Amino acid sequence: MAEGEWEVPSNLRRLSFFLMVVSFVNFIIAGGLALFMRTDQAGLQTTGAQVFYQLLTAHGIGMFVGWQFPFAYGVTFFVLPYFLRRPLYSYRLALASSAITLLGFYLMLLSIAMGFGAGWYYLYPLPFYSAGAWDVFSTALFLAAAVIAETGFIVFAYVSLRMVYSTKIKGGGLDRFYSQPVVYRFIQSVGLDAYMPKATRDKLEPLPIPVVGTVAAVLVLLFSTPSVIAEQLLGLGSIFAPPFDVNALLAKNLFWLYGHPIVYFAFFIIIGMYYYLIPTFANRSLPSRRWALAPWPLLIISGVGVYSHHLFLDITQPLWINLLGQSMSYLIGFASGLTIFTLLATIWRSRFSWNTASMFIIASIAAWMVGGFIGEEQGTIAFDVYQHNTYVVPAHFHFNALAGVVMAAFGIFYFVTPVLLGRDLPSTVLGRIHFWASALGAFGMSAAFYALGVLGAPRREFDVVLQTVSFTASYAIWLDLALVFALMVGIGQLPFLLNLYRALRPSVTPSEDT
Amino acid sequence: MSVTPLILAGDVGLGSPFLVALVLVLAGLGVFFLAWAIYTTRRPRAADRPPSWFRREPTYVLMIAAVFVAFWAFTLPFIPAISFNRLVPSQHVQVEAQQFAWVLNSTTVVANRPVAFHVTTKDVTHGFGVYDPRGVLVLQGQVMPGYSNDFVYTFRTPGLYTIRCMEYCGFGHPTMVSTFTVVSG
Repeated sequence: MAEGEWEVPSNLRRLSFFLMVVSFVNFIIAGGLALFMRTDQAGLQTTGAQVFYQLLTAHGIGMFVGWQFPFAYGVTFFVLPYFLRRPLYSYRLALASSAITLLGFYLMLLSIAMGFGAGWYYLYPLPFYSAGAWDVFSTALFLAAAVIAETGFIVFAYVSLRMVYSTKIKGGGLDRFYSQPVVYRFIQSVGLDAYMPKATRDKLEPLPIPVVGTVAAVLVLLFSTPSVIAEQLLGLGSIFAPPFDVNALLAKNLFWLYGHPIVYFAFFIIIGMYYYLIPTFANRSLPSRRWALAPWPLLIISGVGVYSHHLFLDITQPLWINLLGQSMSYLIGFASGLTIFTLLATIWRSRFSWNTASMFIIASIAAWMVGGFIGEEQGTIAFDVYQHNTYVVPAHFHFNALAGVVMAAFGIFYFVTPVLLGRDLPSTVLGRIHFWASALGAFGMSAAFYALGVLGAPRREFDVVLQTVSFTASYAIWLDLALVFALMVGIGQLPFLLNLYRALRPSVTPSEDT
Repeated sequence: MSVTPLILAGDVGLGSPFLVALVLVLAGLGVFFLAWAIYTTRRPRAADRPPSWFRREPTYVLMIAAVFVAFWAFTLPFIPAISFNRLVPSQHVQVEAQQFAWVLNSTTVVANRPVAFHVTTKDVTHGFGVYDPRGVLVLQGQVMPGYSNDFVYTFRTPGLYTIRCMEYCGFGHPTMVSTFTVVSG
């Protein structure tokens, strides 16, 4: 990274690096659990149905919370100080938000180990109808632990937004930005200045786009978290005050109003980073700042508005909400297209530097497009009839989240490690093996999922292939292939761990960091 | 034989095969443009100026927006909540879902005559998925507790159809399978 006018303090760099490492450890644990599910579905039956559904729950929570949040926090605690050239609003609160979120996450894992297996999205009233698989105590622990983790989200949002908007932090730059009224600071922080006349835009001090991406992510988080806390409190209420009941349709809306927007949390931060990383790799500036800012207001609105596509096949859901959800699914595809267009124009005929970081980033953009188009089809209600709850859905989000977001996250990690750690990860060869195994495995597995979905295979089945239903035999080959590619992703993380170990082992870690 | 009303996208050829083709074309184009942009870096341009095609972005934006609007309007009639209303069902099947079974009050349906499935659940949310004899998913909908979830469809091909639960409903979920027969009318 180029030398900024302001250097990020070493305690923040350490916190940022530590959180990213925790996130990848959680990623490998949650991915390891998924390997058991893959072997089950490939007919090897390593676990029983009950354990399979505990794994399903732990895998989802492990990725959405255990991987995503520490990574996003880690990047934010470095990106905001670096690009705003000012210290973090409160180091203690940053630490507290991380600790609270991780505590909530590990308590959720504990509740799953105790038997809870209603899925990470625990559709009401399933948590209370376990058919004997788990008790009410593990349900209560899961819901309470989730509320704890979400309290951490809100503390994080507070720290981040104070960091961006407060004029009281003594820093080194962006004086013109901070001398404006807060309304103008807000307008710039969400990219709305792209829609203003040139004369107005020229007067503004440009806010770095990674900051805009982080603000977008935090706003989506802040908007969506209260609804899930309400849903969880309703659930806890129904446990401790039995006559009290939860309407399943309301609860499903409340959950997905959080559950879908939240998948954009790390992703928006990463999209913000694309606008910094791609010009850096391409050794040139963005072709247009205005076009780079224009997608952000659309991403923020549609990021929340798309949630209803999880209820497209609920005939009881008001139609207008679903039509809004479909429109928003199109809008987010449109805004993503604008972003990719700018990125491609930046790459076009540039002096592009290839390294492990840029390879991960480019592969993630390809995955974003493939997964995005599959998502657009599911975002069309008339088409969703053939895809809802089939393997096309995991295909969509494994392209987007695994081959897209996680791969981009690895790219960012390889890119910032020299700055955070003071040295590179030692082996380029290990980095390349990590890239190729992860990329081929992630794309291959997601493609196998897509084939399964097209054949009509339902997701979330312990037994996908049924002896009693002859046409399900056609699923078997693709489940075997998915296992092979999943193993490839899993084995591909070993060189990463080895590289990380070699970078961190005491013999090569002198005390210069302190 | 009377004209069979069109109900869902698959009835006008916009089912899974069309969706696969669409994704292959669109994703293929996207990855092709990315690969092309990378290919051009073999002959880097000295000046730090955007490619000429970048100036045409407003035109592309309008074209893509038009495609989205067209898709929105074109697929509207095939949204289940809208298309189900076009049919007047002459057969009714009461379906009760529970962990982990389907209970149907009739397991025979006549082809080419609209049938309404009135699906309720005794416990949690289930997913009512109907596969035709070849294994093609022809109809599905969520079964929300506390509501009668009504799905209307006209089967055209006689044979043995499979109902499979599409929504995770507990550890016995994979066993929640049933069948019914469509006979020619």
